[in-house]
Amino acid sequence: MSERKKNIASGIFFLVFAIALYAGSFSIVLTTADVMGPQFFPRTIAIFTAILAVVQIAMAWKKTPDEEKAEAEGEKEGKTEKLAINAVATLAILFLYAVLVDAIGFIIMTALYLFCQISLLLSKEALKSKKTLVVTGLVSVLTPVFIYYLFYYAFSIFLPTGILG
Amino acid sequence: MQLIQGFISVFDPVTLALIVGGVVGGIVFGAIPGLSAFTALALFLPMTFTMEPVNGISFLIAIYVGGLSGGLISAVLLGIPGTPSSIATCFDGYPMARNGEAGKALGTAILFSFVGGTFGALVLTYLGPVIAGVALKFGPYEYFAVILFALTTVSGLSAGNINKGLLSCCLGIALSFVGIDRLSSYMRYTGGIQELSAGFNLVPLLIGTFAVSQIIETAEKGASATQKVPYTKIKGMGLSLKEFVYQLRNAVPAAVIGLVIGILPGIGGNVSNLMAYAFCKKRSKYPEKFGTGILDGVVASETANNATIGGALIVLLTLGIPGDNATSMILAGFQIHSITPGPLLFKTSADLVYTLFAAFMIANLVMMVSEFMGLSLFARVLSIPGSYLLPVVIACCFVGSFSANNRVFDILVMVIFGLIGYVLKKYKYPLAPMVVGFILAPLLEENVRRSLMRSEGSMGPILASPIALVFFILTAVMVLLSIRSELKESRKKKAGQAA
Repeated sequence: MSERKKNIASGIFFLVFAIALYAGSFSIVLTTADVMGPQFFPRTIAIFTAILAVVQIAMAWKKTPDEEKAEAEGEKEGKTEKLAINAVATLAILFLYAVLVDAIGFIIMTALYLFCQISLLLSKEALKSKKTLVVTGLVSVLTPVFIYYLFYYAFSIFLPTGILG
Repeated sequence: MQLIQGFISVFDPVTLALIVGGVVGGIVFGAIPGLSAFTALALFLPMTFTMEPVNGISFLIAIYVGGLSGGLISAVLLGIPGTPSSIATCFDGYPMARNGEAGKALGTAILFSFVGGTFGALVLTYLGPVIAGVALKFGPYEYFAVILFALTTVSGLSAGNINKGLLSCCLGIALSFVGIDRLSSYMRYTGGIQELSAGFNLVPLLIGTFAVSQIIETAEKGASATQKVPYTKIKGMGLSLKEFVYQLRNAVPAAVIGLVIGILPGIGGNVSNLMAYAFCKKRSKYPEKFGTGILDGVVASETANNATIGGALIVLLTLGIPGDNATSMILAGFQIHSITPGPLLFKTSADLVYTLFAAFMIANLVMMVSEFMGLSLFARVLSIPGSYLLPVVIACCFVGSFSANNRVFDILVMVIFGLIGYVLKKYKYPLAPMVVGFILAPLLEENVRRSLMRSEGSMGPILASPIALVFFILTAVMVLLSIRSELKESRKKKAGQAA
């Protein structure tokens, strides 16, 4: 996506966000309130956001062809955008972690997370080495065990035990 | 004289050992993203039950000093603020580390943390009660004006696109609406989710936005982004005397900003580092270099956040008002020993007060020495490949988010903010204005509404307050200056393109 399109798309997002913020203020149930009330600020910010979003869209829209060309050239020089599979995978394991950590427990989930995340970040060549895999495995298991017991005994913070509890 | 007596009392082996332990413990907590001075204070507070009042409170102050300063380590080495008070340290400290100047960035940050902390301590000692008298004059009108002024820092944090900076700030403000309205107790924007009734916690929001978004970005860039960074050994603190003297032009205003913000309850170090950074950038002859890895940015942020401690302790000791979560823990430390901070404390327990001042100064010195001694240890972090280091940091972030409220829900919040931070970065929206908006909006809303309740809906009495009026004028000046520099910038761009 070009810089211009990105700016327009994000401008549209903020415009929709502002409308949602304004609409959401109607669902604040009121009986009595002070001079401004709890709705005034959200509405003011919604209007302000909408104005800024429109400015953002308009600025991106009226960019001269020269500016656009310069930006496009700048982008070509940089890395070409590829499908960010690794970013999506990272997000997926983070979400899975957040959802499952309570049920399965901190040690197991963190070990799994670390193993997957480190594997994602390592290069393909590095992953072929047995030594790297052993180190990754050890880091993945020892880190959560160390953190768990450190917090349990030293700070009395009880992390979720899950199925081990 | 009383201060010398205070120093004599502090030079007790037990007190000194507790100060050293407190500072080092605080640094460790501050350096781990998600854990902060507040976490450390909450955990160590029960230990002070059995201590002498002087020892217990000195210990807590030492933790506070270490905790606020420790954030600089992860900010410089990882680009992830260890605590909210070192957000701005990332902006230039991390690029310096990537350029092989981690030692210099850390050394400078440590030295100016000491400068800021000592400035705060000296003001606290000699002008504390006087300043407290002025702070007492701050009511809702004055707060409203000051916070409005603080919001103008957004322009300095907008990285060249003020519109995007303001949109990011609006997003932060909107996020602060979630939860119970402080004045009327009505629920807002919770979507019926019980866990959101207290709103979003700053810790998961912050580490999600900065740390989680970074790991997603790194994963996207691939293995090349996780290469080891070179580390150049430094002599002394890493900067020459000439550089030190030159940096005082940033350190002095940053220390004043830090101190003033520290005095005003509710704002604290979370914002002072960003305000000082924005201010120093605005008045700099080379603002475009900020964010690329220059000393000025590191100096501004680290001087301010440590000066904030002095300010926060002024109102705590002289008025008994805790400015933030961390100082409320220190207040609890006083109460455990049946001591009530306030104007009377200076009369009834002057010995204790001056001993605490001395302890605070020594804690600053211990902070500098221990962090300096730890430099080579911190530098080893850089020798760990990013593919291992970043995931382990995220594992610590999970714990940090969880311990913010002792619930798993906050880990989910952290991940969601990671996604938001990643998308914002991808679309070139600066993240700092969002954090500023999120922190300041509740204070602004509360004080505006309180002001209008008091003035029965009229702006007249608000403008009649001289302090408020000064800050309103300053706000207007800042806005005009921002518009001017924005116009200048766009003209420059156009001229460049025409050429």
